[in-house]
Amino acid sequence: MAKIFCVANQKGGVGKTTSAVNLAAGLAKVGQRVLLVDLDPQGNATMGSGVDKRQLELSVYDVLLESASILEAAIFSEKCGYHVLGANRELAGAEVELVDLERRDQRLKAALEVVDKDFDFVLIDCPPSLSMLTLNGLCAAHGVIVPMQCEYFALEGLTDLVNTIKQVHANLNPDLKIIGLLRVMFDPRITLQQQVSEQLKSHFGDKVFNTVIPRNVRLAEAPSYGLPGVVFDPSAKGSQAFVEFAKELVQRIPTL
Amino acid sequence: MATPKVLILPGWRGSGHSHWQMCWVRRYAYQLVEQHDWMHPLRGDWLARLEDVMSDLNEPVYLVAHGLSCIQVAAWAPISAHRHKVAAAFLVAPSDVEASHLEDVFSSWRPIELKALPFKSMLIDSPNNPDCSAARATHFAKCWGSQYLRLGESGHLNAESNGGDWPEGHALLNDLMKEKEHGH
Repeated sequence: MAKIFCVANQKGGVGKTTSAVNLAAGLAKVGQRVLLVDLDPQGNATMGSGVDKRQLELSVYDVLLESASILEAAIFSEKCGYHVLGANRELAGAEVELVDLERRDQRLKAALEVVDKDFDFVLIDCPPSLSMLTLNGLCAAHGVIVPMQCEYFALEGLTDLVNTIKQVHANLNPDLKIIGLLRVMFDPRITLQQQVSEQLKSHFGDKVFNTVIPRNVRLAEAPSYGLPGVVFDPSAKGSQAFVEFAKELVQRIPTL
Repeated sequence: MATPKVLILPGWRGSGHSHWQMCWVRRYAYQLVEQHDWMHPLRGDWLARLEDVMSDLNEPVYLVAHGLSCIQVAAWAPISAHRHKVAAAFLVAPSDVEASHLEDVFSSWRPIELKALPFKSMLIDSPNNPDCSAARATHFAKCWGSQYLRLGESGHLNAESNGGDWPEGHALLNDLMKEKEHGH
C-alpha cells in the first residue's frame, strides 16, 4: 500500500518544491517506487523533475477532471528515477471547473486508489494557498511533511497549516496527520535558527525529523538544470542530506 | 444603474496594436484581459484568468471576444461563479478548435462547449473566416442561443481584414448594449 504524503506549508518560499523533488529522488535512490504529484499550477516540481510542463499532453488537471487516469497521465522521469504527474498553468482552471462538481475535494484520492499497489510513496507538492487543489491533496494523503526554515515568521505559517490540518482531519480525512517537520535551508552559524530549531523540538518533540537539510547552493542551482539536487550533484551536502532524510522516512514508516 | 464595464478578450496570439480590439481599448478605455501565454493557450489557464478578472468586477459586464476567446466564453459561462455579472457577450469570428488544421494548437480546448449561454449574446462572422466555416459558426450561434450576423467577406475579422478600428462593429456593440439596457 502506497504511503501518500503532502509536502505542504501555507507560507510561500520555504522550499516546498525543492523538498518534494529531492525527497522523491532520494526515495528513488534508496529503492522506493515513487510518484510525485505536482498540484501547483506553476509546475515547478514538474520542471524540476526533468519534465517539460509545456510539452505535457496529459496532466494532473486531466486526472482531477476525470478525463484521464494517473497511469495514463504520469510520466516516468528517466533521469530522476520516479514518476511525475505533472502540472502546468492549465491546472489553474481546475479551481473554477471543480466548484460545481460532485466529490470535488476527493478527486485525487479516488484516482490514487487505483494505483495504490504501483508505488511505495506518493508525494504531493501542494501550492501555498488553501485552495481546492490543496484540499484535494490533503484529502488524499495519510499525512503532511512540513518543510520549514528556522525563522521567526516560519512559525506563523506553521500555525495556519496546523489549523488547516485539524479542520481537514475533523471534517474530510480522519487519516490526516502531521508526519513531521523538516528543517530546511538550515545554517547552524545563525543563532536565531538554532533557537527556533530548539523551539520546534520542544514543541513538537519527535515530530521534528532528525535530518536537517543545510543551506546549499547546489540545491538552489539544480532547478535551472531541470533536476533535483540529489540527481544534479549527488555529492553536495544538501543532496546527501535529502538521501539521509529519505532513509529516515522509510525507517519511520512502521511507526506512523 | 452602474456604468457598464466592457472586457476585451483577444484570441490566440493576442490582438496586435492595429487590431480593432486594441483600438477600442485605447479609444474607449475598455479593459483588456491579459493572458499569461498568448502563444500556447491552455484552456484551464485562460478560464482561470477570466474568472479572476470577473471576480473583481461589478455588473453589468459586456464581454467582447474574438477568435479563440469566443470558445473561452462558451467554456467559462457554465462553470463560473460570476456569470451573473455578464449583461451580454459580443462574439466575433470564432475559432473552431475542432477543425483539423487547428487540432495541434488547441488540443486542450476540445470539445467545444455547446451549452446555451446564460446571457444575451451576438455572434458575428465572415463567410471566409479561415478558422471557422460558415456552417460551424451557424451551429455555434444556434447552440449558444446567440443572435447571428454574417458580414461580407472579411476574413478572420482581425487586423489583416483592414477594418481599422471597425466602427461598424462598435455600432453593433452599442446596439447590443442599448437592447440590453431597454430589456429586449
